[in-house]
Amino acid sequence: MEDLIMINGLSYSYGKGHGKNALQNVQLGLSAGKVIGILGPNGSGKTTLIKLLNGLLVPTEGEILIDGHNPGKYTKGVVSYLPERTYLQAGKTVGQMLEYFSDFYQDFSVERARVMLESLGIKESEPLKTLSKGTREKIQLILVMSREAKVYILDEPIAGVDPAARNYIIRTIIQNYNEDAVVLLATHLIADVEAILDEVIFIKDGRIVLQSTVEDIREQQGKSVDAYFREVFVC
Amino acid sequence: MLKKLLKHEWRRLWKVPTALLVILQIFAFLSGLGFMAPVWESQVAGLSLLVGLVWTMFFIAVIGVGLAINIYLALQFYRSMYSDEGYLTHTLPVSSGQLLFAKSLVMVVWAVISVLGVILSVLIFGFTGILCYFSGIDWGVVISDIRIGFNELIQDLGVWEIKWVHILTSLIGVLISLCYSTALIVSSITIGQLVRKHRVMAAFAVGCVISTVVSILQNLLQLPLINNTFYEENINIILIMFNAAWIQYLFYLVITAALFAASNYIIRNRLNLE
Amino acid sequence: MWELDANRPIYLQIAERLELAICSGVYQPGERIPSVRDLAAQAGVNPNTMQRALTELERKNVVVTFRTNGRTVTEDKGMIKETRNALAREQVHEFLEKMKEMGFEKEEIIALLTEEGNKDQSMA
Repeated sequence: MEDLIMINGLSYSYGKGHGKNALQNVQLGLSAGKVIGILGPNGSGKTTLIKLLNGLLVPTEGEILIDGHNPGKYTKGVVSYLPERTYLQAGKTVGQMLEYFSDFYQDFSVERARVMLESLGIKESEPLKTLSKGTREKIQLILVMSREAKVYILDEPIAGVDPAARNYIIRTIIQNYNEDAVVLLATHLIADVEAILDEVIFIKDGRIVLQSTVEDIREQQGKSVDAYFREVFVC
Repeated sequence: MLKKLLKHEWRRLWKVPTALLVILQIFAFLSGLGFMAPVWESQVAGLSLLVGLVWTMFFIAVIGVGLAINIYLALQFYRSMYSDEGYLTHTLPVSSGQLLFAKSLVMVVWAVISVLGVILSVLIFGFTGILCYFSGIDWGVVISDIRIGFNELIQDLGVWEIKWVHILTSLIGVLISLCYSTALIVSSITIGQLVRKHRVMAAFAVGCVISTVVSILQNLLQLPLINNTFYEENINIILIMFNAAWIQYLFYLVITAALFAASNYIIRNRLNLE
Repeated sequence: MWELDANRPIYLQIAERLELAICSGVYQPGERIPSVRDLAAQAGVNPNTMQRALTELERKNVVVTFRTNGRTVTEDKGMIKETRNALAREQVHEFLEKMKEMGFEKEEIIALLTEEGNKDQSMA
């Protein structure tokens, strides 16, 4: 079966004034039914790769194929993206965000979202402005995970979040797992998420330095992915 | 998809401009009341001064509301496209062209509504004032007086009748200029987000540059016409203006299209959200 | 979330945990086991990892899969008893290794066990 995401010879440069490329000759095949961690320190090219996958940047070289299409209108309809930032529209209520998502995304399941919101005690009539940052982040996660997408891209979903919320987020990701979809999880907090990963990709200075299953790392290296990561990325 | 974009765009934007225009109308009416005879006949020293102040504020408000609505629309465009919200906007399953079109269309519509709203407020002010100042008006006489005066004015300028064609042409011209000003706002902000820092200042600067260049080009375009008219005996200014209008319109349409095309290109290929 | 050591393959640890649960009667013979996804969510691990652990248990015949009805604990009580004993022996083995390292002799170990066993109220 062909990989859901195929990245061939991908390079990206932010411009002449920025020195070497942010991404250099990335070659990756990511298959459905997996939770894949994209691990690397800040500035390693994680964010650039994610923006390219979402069609927010255009490759300098090479190509990306998601379900056989280059990033564009089609892929945006099958990729569900949770960025680091809050992108919820100020001035709206929770219910209005639900309506917005179900209007634009055919694969959005309002019932699923409602169940999750209820379990957190969040009312649809509440204006987003009045909610705490943590709650807004959870709402954003709920919106993203309520889509029956083919690709989920989560950028630092648990950074800056309290432990209880962290567990909630991890459980939500597991419960919405779908074997026809691939989940990409970019983070530098590896210890907290390694239990839910199938595969990891180490990215350093714009290059892929490793692609492996997590259990292989544990068996072959005799240590956790977190410990191995620290070894590989010794400053 | 386009209909949904338009629907949500409209819902997002309609409240503030409507509120401002409604307040303006109320202000117009209240200011018009200042024409009431008691005000001018009263012994209270500061009253006429106060009314004069109110009228001044009304005129400022007329200009201010138009400006405020434009600024509001520009800010909302920036926020939706190039701030954190942009992460949602640009990952919707729509093309950049659809996005631009929906947002620009709603902006143009509101530009038209705000022009109408401003005109309405001035009319309200005028009529309220007239009603308050005069009693027992024969409206038939008033209207025919206005029409006669208007026609005299135009005859002096050299055209012996205003045809509906001319009025329509003027309206089209207004519409085109509103499209141009929307294109100016959209493209300045879009080009401005190419830089990493001080994007707002960059947008302003770009806007100034573009409008200056366009003005210069427009004046250059008019030179051939002006040259020709010096040699004509019957200087019929309005007629000349109307003939030249179509060239002007074409010019502005081309510029508008170019600005939108440039914006679309930038969004598709050079988008750089923080 | 279960406490799991990320330095070793997780699926094995999960399999051990589940085996323990079955042997100690948390899951009775013939009882339905929750779905892979629910177990994974409980444990805080990837569903594929949980799947792999359950496959291990199937291989050992501790768990039985019915295509329509999902997974159940085996009805074979003998099997469970055997597994329980095997787990116990493993623990004893580990314990004896450690004691040997510390230089204890067989009599000392038995005496220590009896003493500590008597102190522990729950082991009547």
